[in-house]
Amino acid sequence: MDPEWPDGHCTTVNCAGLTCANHRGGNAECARVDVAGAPVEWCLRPCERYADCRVGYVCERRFDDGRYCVPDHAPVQRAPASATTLVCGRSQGGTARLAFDVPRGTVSYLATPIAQDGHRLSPHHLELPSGARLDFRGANLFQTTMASLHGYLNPTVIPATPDRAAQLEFGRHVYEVETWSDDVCLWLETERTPGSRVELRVYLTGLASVQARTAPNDPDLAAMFDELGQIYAAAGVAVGPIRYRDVPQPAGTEHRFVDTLEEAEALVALSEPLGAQADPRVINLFLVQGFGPEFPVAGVSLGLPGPAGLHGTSASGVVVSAELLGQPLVGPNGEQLDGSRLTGNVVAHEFGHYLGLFHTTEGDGVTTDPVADTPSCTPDLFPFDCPDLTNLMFPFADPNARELSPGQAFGMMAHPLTKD
Amino acid sequence: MTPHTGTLLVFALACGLSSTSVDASPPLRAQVWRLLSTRHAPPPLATFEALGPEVPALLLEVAADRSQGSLQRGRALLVLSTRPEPELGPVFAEVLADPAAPLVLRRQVVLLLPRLPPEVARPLYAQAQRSGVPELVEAARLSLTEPFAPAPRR
Repeated sequence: MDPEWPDGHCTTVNCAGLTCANHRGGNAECARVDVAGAPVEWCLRPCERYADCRVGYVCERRFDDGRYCVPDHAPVQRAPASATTLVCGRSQGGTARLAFDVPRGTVSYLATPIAQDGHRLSPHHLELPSGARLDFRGANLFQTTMASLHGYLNPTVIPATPDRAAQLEFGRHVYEVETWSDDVCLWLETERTPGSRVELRVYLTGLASVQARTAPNDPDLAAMFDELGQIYAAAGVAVGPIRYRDVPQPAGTEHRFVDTLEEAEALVALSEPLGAQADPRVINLFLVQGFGPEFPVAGVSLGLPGPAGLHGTSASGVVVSAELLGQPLVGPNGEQLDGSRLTGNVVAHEFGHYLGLFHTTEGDGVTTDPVADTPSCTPDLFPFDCPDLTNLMFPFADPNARELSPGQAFGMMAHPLTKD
Repeated sequence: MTPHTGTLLVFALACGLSSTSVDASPPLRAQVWRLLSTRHAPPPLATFEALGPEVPALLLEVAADRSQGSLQRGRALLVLSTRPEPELGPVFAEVLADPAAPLVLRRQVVLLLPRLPPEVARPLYAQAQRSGVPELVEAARLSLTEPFAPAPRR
């Protein structure tokens, strides 16, 4: 039995096509879960709330959208020391209610609940001053992605899309999360104007050809950031300033090739807090030599959306392969491409995720993003005839996939990592 | 992969890895390029094969073509290695021996060796171990002690 499952967990493994045993009235179902980093099919007990599960377990959504009792453990992480609006509480019967005020004049905000003691949390709903409730199990389910990915936090942008503008209210709010944590906090970042600039800190991770000292004058990095800047400028967002750091040794050498998602999380956790006087709202970009065949991505964002001002955690940045920097290559139509500019396109895409954008159409050809004005594909057109093929957030790293809709730009600017 | 595909590959190698050796239409080439350039894990070989019978040969050509991006070449190797045919061994050997090939690509070749038949993989392991390139020596060690198993897509 996997030691990560507290007090043991009797189950039927590889249960597809089998009938799961009913034990103590549990009515177990065959579900897909992650065990030791790999998806497996196990019989699990379905649930509705944390309180439905035994001690050491929580009720969470899994791959097939069912909710099951799974182990309650997460990394121990803390809210940023610089957070000015921080409210903390503790679980009462599997639920914690965190109250905060949104000041008048706010145009958007990011509310981030975080369990600081190694327990998990799951967003349930947000109570607005008008008495309305924003239900995270319904139309706002997309705003729970971070809790599903990391377990211990859930950055939540309000309003995330233009058609959700009515969700912005002023006054007392209550964010209710399910958790067994005795140290759960929420920090709030508000914006009084839509952001117009993202600031970057670039970590060079064991790259052979460039170090932090030489990076500001490196032509390949200049081309990469020029492409990023052009794509974002069209959406009204400038890029800069850009600061460079070398990932210190031995970590720089250890992580120059990233072979698993867990390694990407460990790498971004090396991001350092900024000085006491500095604005901590910067995006950490880790450039690595490449990814391995077990994790064959061009880049990965550890935030969807990322937390603002939180450094040193598994959610604190974006990792992109620098393998195409400086490479001339052949494009989809036989044309010559600049690998540095294609890398800039990948960086722009991953930053899009970090600022809260989803793929316009996911790889299944069915699931689409929550933004109303992005074109959506259908399975019969996916992938080559999709109307969103030229959108930056389409899943292909195509040199022509550079467009951002006004609705997507709205979401990016609503995130406090875009600032004035 | 059909024997005909293998013949095409030999032809491609003989022609200095010309990018026009496989008889594939420009739209088909563009489709293969895009599938290889997905931002996340590439689709399985069956998805490529559904585009046309010449696509496996086209993937081999991409894998061996120095004018292609290392990302696209590496993914072509990754996709083809899920059902390795005899024609794949020479491409692995050529990439591994090419000091001008990006290190990330040569490292990937070493990590994928457990997917090849042992008699093909063995000399390539030896080649990696005596390459003098620390990343390749380390990849060979990893590959032998913790053989790569394809993780299901997340």
